[in-house]
Amino acid sequence: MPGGMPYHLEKGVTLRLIELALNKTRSRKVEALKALREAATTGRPDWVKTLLPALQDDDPGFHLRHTDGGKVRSHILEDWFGKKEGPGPDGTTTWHDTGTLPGCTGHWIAYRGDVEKIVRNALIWALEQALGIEHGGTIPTEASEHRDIELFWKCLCPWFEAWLIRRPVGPITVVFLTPSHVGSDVAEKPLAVAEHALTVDATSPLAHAVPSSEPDYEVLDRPPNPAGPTVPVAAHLRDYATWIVTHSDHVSRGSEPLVLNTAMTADFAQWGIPKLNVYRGTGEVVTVSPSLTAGGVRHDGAVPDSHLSSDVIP
Amino acid sequence: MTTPQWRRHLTTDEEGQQFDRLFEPDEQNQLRQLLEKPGQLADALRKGQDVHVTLARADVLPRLLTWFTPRPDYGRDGWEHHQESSGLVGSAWALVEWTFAGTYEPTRVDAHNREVANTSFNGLRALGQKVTLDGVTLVSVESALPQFRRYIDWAGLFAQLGLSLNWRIPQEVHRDRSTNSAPKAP
Repeated sequence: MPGGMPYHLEKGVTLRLIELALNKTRSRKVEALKALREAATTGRPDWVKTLLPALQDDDPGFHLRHTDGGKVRSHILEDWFGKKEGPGPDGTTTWHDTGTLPGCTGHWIAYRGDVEKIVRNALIWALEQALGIEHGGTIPTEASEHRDIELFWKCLCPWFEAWLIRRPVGPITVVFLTPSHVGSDVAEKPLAVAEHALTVDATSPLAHAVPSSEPDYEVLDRPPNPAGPTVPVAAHLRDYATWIVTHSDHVSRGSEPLVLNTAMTADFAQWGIPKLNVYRGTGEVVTVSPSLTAGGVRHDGAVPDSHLSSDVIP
Repeated sequence: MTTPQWRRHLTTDEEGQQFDRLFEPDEQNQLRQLLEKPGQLADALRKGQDVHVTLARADVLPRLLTWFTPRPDYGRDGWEHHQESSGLVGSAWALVEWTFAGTYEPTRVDAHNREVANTSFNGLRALGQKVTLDGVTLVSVESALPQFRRYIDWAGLFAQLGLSLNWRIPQEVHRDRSTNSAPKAP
């Protein structure tokens, strides 16, 4: 969730870490549900502190020991929820609304709303569904079957929504649909540039539009690049996948300039509605598996240490 | 019947019909003269004659009326120019500041006389939005051709219609960190 988001749909490191934390054991789900329900009573977003420290365990492959958990928590609280902890009028610590832009919640552009409550309620419902209990119902103490929870982030929408998706079998899916956020760009090409992918400095301020410099980036419907990294498991044998299928490029502003800008000198009645941008899909239709850092998921679902730095956390 | 050259940018039948309804034959004849003989237009503009107002109205109003129903209590057919802020500017241009007031009616009557949902403004479904559109039209003759520039408050119109921006800029070019070059400007 922090940082860039080169695609319109993302899982990425943070959501994958939350999935791993929630899905590890039934007791982890129960613990999270209790924290979320308590927050529903207090109206405080402290549950983020309960949930995310749980990610900082010693399990190899999916912990936060190489990143700053506090930074991630602050990002979710301040940028997503628009909540900042600080002294209240009576000197006690309380939560204040905060926003990067005037009148907006968190770092969202042109949107104000109770994001914390939307996320909290969605996770409560998802956990209850995963545990097989009714909404607000008592959590059974005995061990029972529980479903996994999967999370996705879709950007852009005019306002914040969370969708819960249930099927007869399989995980409970939650999709967060969000407005654009400050500094968010999206790449017109789903493809990373191969030579760049092997050489770029991921911490550069001139970051690649698709920062798929990791070995798990892959174009699935092309022969493997002998010079580049490949995913060692055949596509149909993978446990996890989040792939994008689209044109290899999108050309904007395809409309005639006179329609884009009615102030250009033109003939009598030669003008039209400015379309701002008109997109045309060009090139072949490709299937791309973005790297975990660029919002994808590894074939084994893991979050290796090498993907965890305080600078690159999608 | 072939469309006269001076009317060739009135691209739909409905625009042409609106134009014919708005302008009497003698007004159309005057417009044709000005547009076909830019020398006359240039002279008229220099002499401060009010042809620029007629031209600005003819340039925008027929198309606006294919989208919006004019507000009956505003101007002529919902369009009015502002006399105090219109006139000659510089050596060769005439400026017309204008306002149009109308409604994006939910339904319209199609060519078969059926009432249908109105999606005339770029496919946008109409919800009865009241709109006020402000614009400035500049008229001149350049290279022996009549020329128009229209500074229209499109953002204001889009907002009144209920549209919003998505606020994500698609990057046209992959940023090249190996050469430290910035993305190409769109």
